[in-house]
Amino acid sequence: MSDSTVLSVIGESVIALEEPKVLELTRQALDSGIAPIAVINEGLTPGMTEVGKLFEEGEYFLPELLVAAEVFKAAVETKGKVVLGTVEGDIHDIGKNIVALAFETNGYEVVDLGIDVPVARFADEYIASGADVVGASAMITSTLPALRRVVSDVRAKAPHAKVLIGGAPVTPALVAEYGSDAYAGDAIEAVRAVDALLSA
Amino acid sequence: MKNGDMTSRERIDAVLRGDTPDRVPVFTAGHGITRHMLGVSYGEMVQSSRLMASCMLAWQDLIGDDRLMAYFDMMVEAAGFGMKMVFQDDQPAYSDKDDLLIKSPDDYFKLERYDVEKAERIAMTLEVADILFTTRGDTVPVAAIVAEPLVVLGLLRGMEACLMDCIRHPEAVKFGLDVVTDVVIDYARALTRRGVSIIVNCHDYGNRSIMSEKLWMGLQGDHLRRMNAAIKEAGATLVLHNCDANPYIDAAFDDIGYLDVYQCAALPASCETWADYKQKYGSRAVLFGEWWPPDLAAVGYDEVLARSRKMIEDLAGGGGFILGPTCEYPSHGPIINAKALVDASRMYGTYPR
Repeated sequence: MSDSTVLSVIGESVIALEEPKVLELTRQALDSGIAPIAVINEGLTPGMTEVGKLFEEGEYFLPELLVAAEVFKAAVETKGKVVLGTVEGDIHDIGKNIVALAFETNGYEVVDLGIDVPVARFADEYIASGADVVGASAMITSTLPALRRVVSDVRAKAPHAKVLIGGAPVTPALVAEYGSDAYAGDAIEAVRAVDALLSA
Repeated sequence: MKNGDMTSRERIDAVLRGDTPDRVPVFTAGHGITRHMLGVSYGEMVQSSRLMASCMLAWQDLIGDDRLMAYFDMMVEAAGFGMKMVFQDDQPAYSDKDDLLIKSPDDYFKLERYDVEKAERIAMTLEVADILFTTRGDTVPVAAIVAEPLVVLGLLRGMEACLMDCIRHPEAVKFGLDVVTDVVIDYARALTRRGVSIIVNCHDYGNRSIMSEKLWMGLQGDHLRRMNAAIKEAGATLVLHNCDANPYIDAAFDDIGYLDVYQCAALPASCETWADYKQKYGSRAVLFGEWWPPDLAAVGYDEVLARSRKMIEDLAGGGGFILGPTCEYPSHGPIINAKALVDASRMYGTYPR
Protein backbone atom coordinates (compact mmCIF):
# COMPACT_ATOMS: atom_id res chain seq x y z
CA MET A 1 0.00 0.00 0.00
CA SER A 2 1.16 3.54 -0.66
CA ASP A 3 1.63 5.90 2.25
CA SER A 4 -1.56 7.77 1.43
CA THR A 5 -3.50 4.52 1.19
CA VAL A 6 -2.18 3.31 4.56
CA LEU A 7 -3.13 6.61 6.18
CA SER A 8 -6.54 6.50 4.55
CA VAL A 9 -7.15 2.96 5.83
CA ILE A 10 -6.07 4.02 9.31
CA GLY A 11 -8.72 6.75 9.20
CA GLU A 12 -11.37 4.35 7.93
CA SER A 13 -10.47 1.87 10.66
CA VAL A 14 -10.90 4.57 13.30
CA ILE A 15 -14.36 5.29 11.90
CA ALA A 16 -15.16 1.57 11.94
CA LEU A 17 -13.96 1.38 15.59
CA GLU A 18 -11.48 -1.39 14.69
CA GLU A 19 -8.95 -0.89 17.46
CA PRO A 20 -6.56 -3.78 16.73
CA LYS A 21 -6.44 -2.82 13.05
CA VAL A 22 -5.72 0.83 13.86
CA LEU A 23 -2.89 -0.10 16.21
CA GLU A 24 -1.39 -2.59 13.76
CA LEU A 25 -1.55 -0.19 10.80
CA THR A 26 -0.16 2.64 12.91
CA ARG A 27 2.78 0.48 13.94
CA GLN A 28 3.34 -0.59 10.32
CA ALA A 29 3.18 3.01 9.13
CA LEU A 30 5.75 4.17 11.67
CA ASP A 31 7.99 1.17 10.93
CA SER A 32 7.88 1.99 7.22
CA GLY A 33 9.14 5.49 7.88
CA ILE A 34 5.95 7.53 7.73
CA ALA A 35 6.37 10.51 10.07
CA PRO A 36 4.34 10.28 13.31
CA ILE A 37 2.82 13.68 12.62
CA ALA A 38 1.57 12.42 9.26
CA VAL A 39 -0.01 9.38 10.92
CA ILE A 40 -1.83 11.72 13.30
CA ASN A 41 -2.76 14.49 10.87
CA GLU A 42 -3.54 12.43 7.77
CA GLY A 43 -4.72 9.15 9.27
CA LEU A 44 -6.04 9.26 12.81
CA THR A 45 -7.34 12.82 12.97
CA PRO A 46 -9.43 12.66 9.77
CA GLY A 47 -10.93 9.46 11.16
CA MET A 48 -11.75 11.16 14.45
CA THR A 49 -13.14 14.19 12.64
CA GLU A 50 -15.51 11.92 10.76
CA VAL A 51 -16.49 10.19 14.01
CA GLY A 52 -17.26 13.61 15.50
CA LYS A 53 -19.29 14.49 12.43
CA LEU A 54 -21.24 11.24 12.66
CA PHE A 55 -21.88 12.01 16.33
CA GLU A 56 -23.18 15.49 15.52
CA GLU A 57 -25.38 14.05 12.77
CA GLY A 58 -26.87 11.49 15.12
CA GLU A 59 -25.37 8.50 13.35
CA TYR A 60 -22.95 7.76 16.16
CA PHE A 61 -23.74 7.97 19.85
CA LEU A 62 -21.82 7.97 23.12
CA PRO A 63 -20.70 4.32 22.94
CA GLU A 64 -19.19 4.79 19.49
CA LEU A 65 -17.59 8.08 20.52
CA LEU A 66 -16.10 6.47 23.62
CA VAL A 67 -14.64 3.53 21.74
CA ALA A 68 -13.23 5.86 19.06
CA ALA A 69 -11.61 7.94 21.80
CA GLU A 70 -9.99 4.81 23.24
CA VAL A 71 -8.70 3.84 19.82
CA PHE A 72 -7.29 7.30 19.26
CA LYS A 73 -5.74 7.47 22.73
CA ALA A 74 -4.04 4.16 22.20
CA ALA A 75 -2.48 5.40 18.99
CA VAL A 76 -1.33 8.92 19.79
CA GLU A 77 0.18 11.03 22.45
CA THR A 78 -2.08 13.70 23.89
CA LYS A 79 -2.53 17.30 22.69
CA GLY A 80 -2.72 18.61 26.21
CA LYS A 81 -4.05 17.92 29.67
CA VAL A 82 -7.35 19.26 31.00
CA VAL A 83 -8.40 19.19 34.64
CA LEU A 84 -12.18 18.93 34.66
CA GLY A 85 -14.82 18.89 37.38
CA THR A 86 -18.27 19.94 38.56
CA VAL A 87 -18.01 22.52 41.31
CA GLU A 88 -18.69 22.18 45.02
CA GLY A 89 -22.34 21.61 45.89
CA ASP A 90 -23.20 20.32 42.43
CA ILE A 91 -23.54 16.60 41.71
CA HIS A 92 -24.45 16.76 38.01
CA ASP A 93 -22.03 14.61 36.11
CA ILE A 94 -23.51 13.67 32.72
CA GLY A 95 -22.73 17.01 31.03
CA LYS A 96 -19.25 17.09 32.49
CA ASN A 97 -18.70 13.46 31.42
CA ILE A 98 -19.71 14.29 27.86
CA VAL A 99 -17.26 17.21 27.84
CA ALA A 100 -14.52 14.92 29.20
CA LEU A 101 -15.32 12.44 26.48
CA ALA A 102 -15.15 15.11 23.79
CA PHE A 103 -11.70 16.15 25.04
CA GLU A 104 -10.45 12.57 25.04
CA THR A 105 -11.92 12.00 21.62
CA ASN A 106 -9.95 14.96 20.37
CA GLY A 107 -6.65 13.85 21.77
CA TYR A 108 -6.57 15.49 25.19
CA GLU A 109 -5.73 13.79 28.44
CA VAL A 110 -8.41 14.47 31.03
CA VAL A 111 -7.93 14.59 34.79
CA ASP A 112 -11.54 14.12 35.85
CA LEU A 113 -12.06 15.42 39.38
CA GLY A 114 -15.68 14.25 39.37
CA ILE A 115 -18.59 16.05 40.97
CA ASP A 116 -19.01 18.22 44.08
CA VAL A 117 -15.33 19.18 43.83
CA PRO A 118 -14.02 21.48 46.60
CA VAL A 119 -12.98 24.89 45.27
CA ALA A 120 -9.28 24.56 46.08
CA ARG A 121 -8.93 21.17 44.42
CA PHE A 122 -9.15 22.55 40.87
CA ALA A 123 -6.01 24.67 41.27
CA ASP A 124 -4.24 22.08 43.38
CA GLU A 125 -4.81 19.31 40.82
CA TYR A 126 -3.92 21.65 37.97
CA ILE A 127 -0.55 22.31 39.58
CA ALA A 128 0.04 18.72 40.71
CA SER A 129 -0.80 17.16 37.35
CA GLY A 130 1.03 19.70 35.22
CA ALA A 131 -2.13 20.32 33.23
CA ASP A 132 -2.67 22.98 30.58
CA VAL A 133 -6.27 23.90 31.25
CA VAL A 134 -8.79 23.95 34.08
CA GLY A 135 -12.40 23.31 33.09
CA ALA A 136 -15.08 23.93 35.71
CA SER A 137 -18.79 23.25 35.36
CA ALA A 138 -21.79 24.49 37.34
CA MET A 139 -25.15 23.05 36.41
CA ILE A 140 -27.45 24.91 38.77
CA THR A 141 -27.75 28.60 39.58
CA SER A 142 -27.03 28.08 43.26
CA THR A 143 -23.51 26.75 42.51
CA LEU A 144 -22.44 29.72 40.37
CA PRO A 145 -20.75 31.36 43.40
CA ALA A 146 -18.59 28.24 43.77
CA LEU A 147 -17.68 28.50 40.08
CA ARG A 148 -16.58 32.09 40.62
CA ARG A 149 -14.45 31.02 43.59
CA VAL A 150 -12.82 28.27 41.50
CA VAL A 151 -11.74 30.82 38.91
CA SER A 152 -10.41 33.16 41.61
CA ASP A 153 -8.54 30.38 43.36
CA VAL A 154 -6.89 29.19 40.14
CA ARG A 155 -5.96 32.76 39.25
CA ALA A 156 -4.39 33.22 42.72
CA LYS A 157 -2.40 29.98 42.69
CA ALA A 158 -1.60 29.64 38.98
CA PRO A 159 -1.96 33.03 37.26
CA HIS A 160 -1.07 31.69 33.81
CA ALA A 161 -3.50 28.79 33.82
CA LYS A 162 -6.14 28.71 31.09
CA VAL A 163 -9.61 28.49 32.62
CA LEU A 164 -12.73 27.32 30.81
CA ILE A 165 -16.20 27.58 32.35
CA GLY A 166 -19.50 26.02 31.33
CA GLY A 167 -22.78 24.52 32.46
CA ALA A 168 -26.50 25.17 32.11
CA PRO A 169 -26.73 28.53 33.97
CA VAL A 170 -23.33 29.82 32.72
CA THR A 171 -23.33 32.50 30.03
CA PRO A 172 -20.54 34.07 27.93
CA ALA A 173 -20.92 37.25 30.00
CA LEU A 174 -19.54 35.43 33.03
CA VAL A 175 -16.13 35.03 31.35
CA ALA A 176 -15.35 38.68 32.00
CA GLU A 177 -17.20 38.83 35.29
CA TYR A 178 -15.42 35.82 36.79
CA GLY A 179 -12.09 36.36 35.03
CA SER A 180 -11.94 33.06 33.14
CA ASP A 181 -10.43 32.68 29.67
CA ALA A 182 -13.28 31.08 27.81
CA TYR A 183 -16.86 29.81 27.93
CA ALA A 184 -18.31 26.78 26.18
CA GLY A 185 -21.97 26.04 25.61
CA ASP A 186 -21.47 22.39 24.76
CA ALA A 187 -18.82 19.68 24.55
CA ILE A 188 -17.67 20.35 21.00
CA GLU A 189 -17.48 24.08 21.72
CA ALA A 190 -15.34 23.28 24.78
CA VAL A 191 -12.81 21.43 22.65
CA ARG A 192 -12.70 24.24 20.09
CA ALA A 193 -12.22 26.80 22.87
CA VAL A 194 -9.31 24.88 24.37
CA ASP A 195 -7.77 24.27 20.95
CA ALA A 196 -7.85 28.04 20.48
CA LEU A 197 -6.50 28.81 23.96
CA LEU A 198 -3.55 26.47 23.57
CA SER A 199 -2.66 27.60 20.07
CA ALA A 200 -2.84 31.30 20.95
CA MET B 1 -69.24 14.35 39.69
CA LYS B 2 -68.32 17.15 42.09
CA ASN B 3 -64.70 18.24 42.18
CA GLY B 4 -62.94 16.57 45.11
CA ASP B 5 -65.40 13.73 45.58
CA MET B 6 -62.90 11.02 44.76
CA THR B 7 -60.02 9.77 46.84
CA SER B 8 -56.64 9.76 45.13
CA ARG B 9 -56.89 6.01 44.64
CA GLU B 10 -60.33 6.32 43.03
CA ARG B 11 -59.07 9.17 40.88
CA ILE B 12 -56.10 7.17 39.59
CA ASP B 13 -58.17 4.03 39.13
CA ALA B 14 -60.65 5.99 37.02
CA VAL B 15 -57.91 7.41 34.82
CA LEU B 16 -56.34 4.00 34.34
CA ARG B 17 -59.69 2.44 33.46
CA GLY B 18 -60.14 5.03 30.75
CA ASP B 19 -62.92 6.80 32.63
CA THR B 20 -62.93 10.46 33.55
CA PRO B 21 -62.13 11.15 37.21
CA ASP B 22 -63.47 14.12 39.22
CA ARG B 23 -60.35 16.07 38.22
CA VAL B 24 -56.92 15.60 36.69
CA PRO B 25 -54.67 13.70 39.14
CA VAL B 26 -51.39 15.28 40.22
CA PHE B 27 -48.15 13.41 40.84
CA THR B 28 -45.16 15.16 42.38
CA ALA B 29 -42.45 13.89 44.73
CA GLY B 30 -41.10 16.44 47.16
CA HIS B 31 -39.52 14.45 49.96
CA GLY B 32 -36.35 16.48 49.37
CA ILE B 33 -38.30 19.50 50.59
CA THR B 34 -40.28 18.06 53.48
CA ARG B 35 -37.14 16.62 55.02
CA HIS B 36 -36.21 20.25 55.84
CA MET B 37 -39.52 20.65 57.67
CA LEU B 38 -38.83 17.50 59.66
CA GLY B 39 -35.27 18.58 60.46
CA VAL B 40 -33.72 15.62 58.66
CA SER B 41 -30.54 15.71 56.58
CA TYR B 42 -30.59 14.07 53.14
CA GLY B 43 -28.14 11.46 54.39
CA GLU B 44 -30.34 10.59 57.36
CA MET B 45 -33.45 10.45 55.20
CA VAL B 46 -32.02 7.99 52.68
CA GLN B 47 -30.72 5.66 55.39
CA SER B 48 -33.94 5.29 57.35
CA SER B 49 -37.17 3.74 56.13
CA ARG B 50 -39.11 5.46 58.89
CA LEU B 51 -37.73 8.92 58.08
CA MET B 52 -38.20 8.48 54.33
CA ALA B 53 -41.79 7.35 54.81
CA SER B 54 -42.38 10.33 57.11
CA CYS B 55 -41.03 12.73 54.47
CA MET B 56 -43.22 11.18 51.79
CA LEU B 57 -46.33 11.30 53.97
CA ALA B 58 -45.59 14.89 55.00
CA TRP B 59 -45.38 15.89 51.33
CA GLN B 60 -48.69 14.22 50.59
CA ASP B 61 -50.25 15.99 53.57
CA LEU B 62 -48.85 19.30 52.43
CA ILE B 63 -49.61 19.15 48.71
CA GLY B 64 -52.42 16.68 48.32
CA ASP B 65 -50.41 14.57 45.91
CA ASP B 66 -52.35 11.71 44.36
CA ARG B 67 -49.52 9.23 44.86
CA LEU B 68 -47.07 8.15 47.54
CA MET B 69 -43.59 7.02 46.57
CA ALA B 70 -41.70 4.11 48.13
CA TYR B 71 -38.34 5.29 46.97
CA PHE B 72 -34.80 6.05 48.13
CA ASP B 73 -32.81 6.45 44.93
CA MET B 74 -32.07 4.76 41.62
CA MET B 75 -29.28 2.65 43.07
CA VAL B 76 -31.01 0.15 45.32
CA GLU B 77 -30.75 -2.73 42.82
CA ALA B 78 -27.05 -2.02 42.22
CA ALA B 79 -26.43 -1.75 45.96
CA GLY B 80 -27.88 -5.24 46.32
CA PHE B 81 -25.10 -6.57 44.11
CA GLY B 82 -22.57 -5.04 46.50
CA MET B 83 -22.01 -1.61 44.98
CA LYS B 84 -20.63 0.81 47.55
CA MET B 85 -22.56 4.00 48.13
CA VAL B 86 -21.49 7.39 49.39
CA PHE B 87 -24.02 9.28 51.53
CA GLN B 88 -24.03 13.04 51.85
CA ASP B 89 -25.70 15.44 54.25
CA ASP B 90 -27.46 17.67 51.74
CA GLN B 91 -27.47 15.78 48.45
CA PRO B 92 -28.64 12.41 47.17
CA ALA B 93 -26.32 9.46 47.68
CA TYR B 94 -24.13 8.33 44.83
CA SER B 95 -22.17 5.24 43.89
CA ASP B 96 -18.48 5.02 44.76
CA LYS B 97 -16.85 5.33 41.35
CA ASP B 98 -13.43 4.62 42.83
CA ASP B 99 -14.42 1.09 43.79
CA LEU B 100 -16.56 -0.30 41.00
CA LEU B 101 -17.93 -3.82 41.30
CA ILE B 102 -17.38 -4.71 37.64
CA LYS B 103 -13.75 -3.93 36.91
CA SER B 104 -13.40 -5.82 33.64
CA PRO B 105 -15.69 -7.43 31.05
CA ASP B 106 -15.08 -10.82 32.69
CA ASP B 107 -16.70 -9.55 35.88
CA TYR B 108 -20.13 -9.39 34.22
CA PHE B 109 -20.10 -13.19 34.30
CA LYS B 110 -19.60 -13.15 38.08
CA LEU B 111 -22.91 -11.41 38.76
CA GLU B 112 -25.40 -13.60 40.59
CA ARG B 113 -29.11 -13.22 41.24
CA TYR B 114 -29.63 -12.33 44.89
CA ASP B 115 -32.50 -12.53 47.35
CA VAL B 116 -34.08 -9.09 47.16
CA GLU B 117 -35.74 -9.48 50.56
CA LYS B 118 -32.27 -9.74 52.12
CA ALA B 119 -30.63 -6.90 50.20
CA GLU B 120 -30.37 -4.02 52.67
CA ARG B 121 -31.50 -1.04 50.58
CA ILE B 122 -34.20 -2.97 48.72
CA ALA B 123 -35.47 -4.29 52.05
CA MET B 124 -35.54 -0.71 53.32
CA THR B 125 -37.56 0.38 50.27
CA LEU B 126 -39.97 -2.49 50.87
CA GLU B 127 -40.32 -1.28 54.44
CA VAL B 128 -41.14 2.22 53.19
CA ALA B 129 -43.81 0.67 50.96
CA ASP B 130 -45.18 -1.21 53.97
CA ILE B 131 -45.40 1.96 56.05
CA LEU B 132 -46.99 4.02 53.29
CA PHE B 133 -49.51 1.35 52.33
CA THR B 134 -50.46 0.61 55.92
CA THR B 135 -50.79 4.29 56.77
CA ARG B 136 -52.63 5.61 53.75
CA GLY B 137 -52.89 2.91 51.10
CA ASP B 138 -56.67 2.76 51.29
CA THR B 139 -56.98 6.24 49.83
CA VAL B 140 -53.66 6.97 48.10
CA PRO B 141 -51.90 4.53 45.75
CA VAL B 142 -48.28 3.69 46.53
CA ALA B 143 -45.77 3.79 43.67
CA ALA B 144 -42.15 2.68 43.38
CA ILE B 145 -39.37 2.88 40.82
CA VAL B 146 -37.34 0.08 39.29
CA ALA B 147 -34.24 0.68 37.22
CA GLU B 148 -33.56 -0.12 33.59
CA PRO B 149 -31.23 -3.16 33.72
CA LEU B 150 -28.58 -1.49 31.59
CA VAL B 151 -28.51 1.43 34.02
CA VAL B 152 -27.81 -0.99 36.87
CA LEU B 153 -24.87 -2.38 34.91
CA GLY B 154 -23.73 1.19 34.25
CA LEU B 155 -23.62 1.82 37.99
CA LEU B 156 -21.70 -1.37 38.66
CA ARG B 157 -19.21 -0.89 35.82
CA GLY B 158 -19.11 2.90 35.42
CA MET B 159 -21.21 4.44 32.69
CA GLU B 160 -18.45 5.07 30.17
CA ALA B 161 -16.91 1.62 30.45
CA CYS B 162 -20.34 0.04 30.29
CA LEU B 163 -21.21 1.93 27.10
CA MET B 164 -17.95 0.82 25.52
CA ASP B 165 -18.63 -2.77 26.61
CA CYS B 166 -21.95 -2.58 24.77
CA ILE B 167 -19.94 -2.40 21.56
CA ARG B 168 -16.81 -4.33 22.47
CA HIS B 169 -18.22 -7.06 24.71
CA PRO B 170 -21.96 -7.38 23.99
CA GLU B 171 -22.16 -11.01 25.15
CA ALA B 172 -20.77 -10.08 28.56
CA VAL B 173 -23.24 -7.21 28.82
CA LYS B 174 -26.12 -9.48 27.83
CA PHE B 175 -25.15 -11.98 30.51
CA GLY B 176 -25.22 -9.15 33.04
CA LEU B 177 -28.58 -8.01 31.74
CA ASP B 178 -30.03 -11.51 32.21
CA VAL B 179 -29.05 -11.51 35.88
CA VAL B 180 -30.07 -7.92 36.58
CA THR B 181 -33.45 -8.39 34.88
CA ASP B 182 -34.18 -11.37 37.14
CA VAL B 183 -33.35 -9.22 40.17
CA VAL B 184 -35.47 -6.30 38.99
CA ILE B 185 -38.42 -8.62 38.39
CA ASP B 186 -37.99 -10.14 41.87
CA TYR B 187 -37.89 -6.62 43.28
CA ALA B 188 -41.02 -5.54 41.40
CA ARG B 189 -42.90 -8.62 42.63
CA ALA B 190 -41.79 -7.93 46.20
CA LEU B 191 -43.02 -4.35 45.89
CA THR B 192 -46.47 -5.46 44.77
CA ARG B 193 -46.62 -7.85 47.73
CA ARG B 194 -46.16 -4.76 49.95
CA GLY B 195 -49.11 -2.97 48.39
CA VAL B 196 -47.32 -1.04 45.65
CA SER B 197 -49.76 -0.73 42.78
CA ILE B 198 -47.80 1.58 40.45
CA ILE B 199 -44.32 0.67 39.24
CA VAL B 200 -42.26 3.19 37.34
CA ASN B 201 -39.55 1.93 35.02
CA CYS B 202 -37.00 4.57 34.03
CA HIS B 203 -35.59 4.27 30.53
CA ASP B 204 -32.51 6.37 31.21
CA TYR B 205 -30.47 4.93 28.35
CA GLY B 206 -33.33 4.74 25.83
CA ASN B 207 -32.75 8.07 24.16
CA ARG B 208 -30.61 9.78 21.56
CA SER B 209 -28.36 11.41 24.17
CA ILE B 210 -26.96 8.04 25.18
CA MET B 211 -27.11 5.36 22.50
CA SER B 212 -28.71 4.38 19.23
CA GLU B 213 -32.13 2.78 19.30
CA LYS B 214 -30.68 -0.20 17.47
CA LEU B 215 -28.01 -0.82 20.12
CA TRP B 216 -30.39 -0.12 23.01
CA MET B 217 -33.10 -2.45 21.76
CA GLY B 218 -30.64 -5.00 20.44
CA LEU B 219 -29.04 -5.41 23.85
CA GLN B 220 -32.01 -5.29 26.18
CA GLY B 221 -35.23 -5.15 24.18
CA ASP B 222 -36.02 -8.73 25.21
CA HIS B 223 -35.12 -7.98 28.82
CA LEU B 224 -37.41 -4.95 28.97
CA ARG B 225 -40.28 -6.92 27.44
CA ARG B 226 -39.77 -9.71 29.98
CA MET B 227 -39.57 -7.22 32.81
CA ASN B 228 -42.67 -5.30 31.78
CA ALA B 229 -44.67 -8.48 31.27
CA ALA B 230 -43.72 -9.62 34.78
CA ILE B 231 -44.70 -6.28 36.30
CA LYS B 232 -48.09 -6.46 34.61
CA GLU B 233 -48.51 -10.08 35.65
CA ALA B 234 -47.88 -9.02 39.25
CA GLY B 235 -50.88 -6.73 38.93
CA ALA B 236 -49.15 -3.36 38.92
CA THR B 237 -49.74 -0.35 36.73
CA LEU B 238 -46.63 0.23 34.62
CA VAL B 239 -45.34 3.76 34.12
CA LEU B 240 -42.53 4.24 31.62
CA HIS B 241 -40.43 7.28 32.41
CA ASN B 242 -37.82 8.87 30.18
CA CYS B 243 -35.93 11.94 31.30
CA ASP B 244 -34.33 12.83 28.00
CA ALA B 245 -35.55 15.19 25.30
CA ASN B 246 -35.33 12.54 22.57
CA PRO B 247 -36.75 9.30 23.95
CA TYR B 248 -37.29 6.21 21.85
CA ILE B 249 -41.00 6.51 22.41
CA ASP B 250 -42.17 4.31 19.56
CA ALA B 251 -39.88 1.52 20.71
CA ALA B 252 -41.41 1.87 24.18
CA PHE B 253 -44.96 1.70 22.82
CA ASP B 254 -44.61 -0.69 19.91
CA ASP B 255 -41.57 -2.91 20.47
CA ILE B 256 -41.51 -3.23 24.26
CA GLY B 257 -45.13 -2.59 25.17
CA TYR B 258 -47.18 -3.31 28.30
CA LEU B 259 -47.13 0.31 29.43
CA ASP B 260 -50.13 1.95 31.06
CA VAL B 261 -48.69 5.43 31.62
CA TYR B 262 -46.02 7.29 29.69
CA GLN B 263 -43.97 10.16 31.10
CA CYS B 264 -41.45 11.97 28.94
CA ALA B 265 -39.39 15.06 29.63
CA ALA B 266 -40.03 16.88 26.37
CA LEU B 267 -42.23 16.78 23.34
CA PRO B 268 -41.17 13.71 21.32
CA ALA B 269 -39.58 14.46 17.95
CA SER B 270 -42.43 12.65 16.21
CA CYS B 271 -44.97 15.22 17.47
CA GLU B 272 -45.48 18.85 16.45
CA THR B 273 -47.44 19.98 19.50
CA TRP B 274 -48.67 18.61 22.81
CA ALA B 275 -52.12 18.32 21.29
CA ASP B 276 -50.54 16.24 18.52
CA TYR B 277 -48.82 14.11 21.19
CA LYS B 278 -52.18 13.56 22.88
CA GLN B 279 -53.77 12.57 19.60
CA LYS B 280 -50.96 10.20 18.66
CA TYR B 281 -50.36 8.46 21.98
CA GLY B 282 -53.24 9.46 24.26
CA SER B 283 -55.46 6.59 23.21
CA ARG B 284 -52.72 4.08 23.95
CA ALA B 285 -51.59 5.19 27.40
CA VAL B 286 -52.25 7.71 30.11
CA LEU B 287 -49.88 10.64 29.57
CA PHE B 288 -48.02 12.12 32.54
CA GLY B 289 -46.21 15.46 32.75
CA GLU B 290 -45.30 17.86 31.28
CA TRP B 291 -43.53 20.22 33.64
CA TRP B 292 -39.76 20.42 33.18
CA PRO B 293 -38.62 20.38 36.85
CA PRO B 294 -36.23 23.37 36.65
CA ASP B 295 -39.13 25.47 35.35
CA LEU B 296 -41.10 24.66 38.48
CA ALA B 297 -38.26 26.14 40.50
CA ALA B 298 -37.93 29.20 38.30
CA VAL B 299 -41.41 30.60 37.76
CA GLY B 300 -44.07 31.97 40.10
CA TYR B 301 -47.41 30.58 41.28
CA ASP B 302 -49.46 32.37 38.62
CA GLU B 303 -47.23 31.12 35.85
CA VAL B 304 -47.56 27.56 37.13
CA LEU B 305 -51.32 27.94 37.06
CA ALA B 306 -51.29 29.40 33.55
CA ARG B 307 -48.98 26.81 32.04
CA SER B 308 -50.75 23.96 33.82
CA ARG B 309 -54.03 25.20 32.41
CA LYS B 310 -52.58 24.99 28.90
CA MET B 311 -51.25 21.49 29.58
CA ILE B 312 -54.65 20.40 30.82
CA GLU B 313 -56.30 21.90 27.74
CA ASP B 314 -53.88 20.11 25.44
CA LEU B 315 -53.60 16.80 27.20
CA ALA B 316 -56.49 16.11 29.56
CA GLY B 317 -59.44 15.94 27.16
CA GLY B 318 -61.48 12.80 27.83
CA GLY B 319 -59.24 11.83 30.76
CA GLY B 320 -55.97 9.98 30.37
CA PHE B 321 -53.72 12.65 31.84
CA ILE B 322 -51.74 13.09 35.05
CA LEU B 323 -50.31 16.54 35.76
CA GLY B 324 -46.85 16.82 37.28
CA PRO B 325 -43.14 17.36 36.76
CA THR B 326 -41.40 15.10 34.28
CA CYS B 327 -39.05 13.97 37.02
CA GLU B 328 -38.62 14.52 40.76
CA TYR B 329 -39.93 17.86 42.02
CA PRO B 330 -36.85 20.10 42.42
CA SER B 331 -35.57 19.91 45.99
CA HIS B 332 -34.90 23.68 45.94
CA GLY B 333 -38.26 24.45 44.35
CA PRO B 334 -40.92 26.52 46.10
CA ILE B 335 -43.60 24.48 47.85
CA ILE B 336 -46.24 26.91 46.61
CA ASN B 337 -45.57 25.84 43.03
CA ALA B 338 -46.27 22.21 43.85
CA LYS B 339 -49.47 23.37 45.48
CA ALA B 340 -50.21 25.36 42.33
CA LEU B 341 -50.26 22.12 40.35
CA VAL B 342 -53.02 20.78 42.57
CA ASP B 343 -54.80 24.14 42.49
CA ALA B 344 -54.60 24.15 38.69
CA SER B 345 -56.13 20.69 38.63
CA ARG B 346 -58.98 21.87 40.88
CA MET B 347 -59.52 25.08 38.92
CA TYR B 348 -59.08 23.89 35.34
CA GLY B 349 -58.91 20.11 35.40
CA THR B 350 -62.40 19.07 36.48
CA TYR B 351 -64.55 16.69 34.42
CA PRO B 352 -66.71 16.57 32.42
CA ARG B 353 -64.68 18.82 30.18
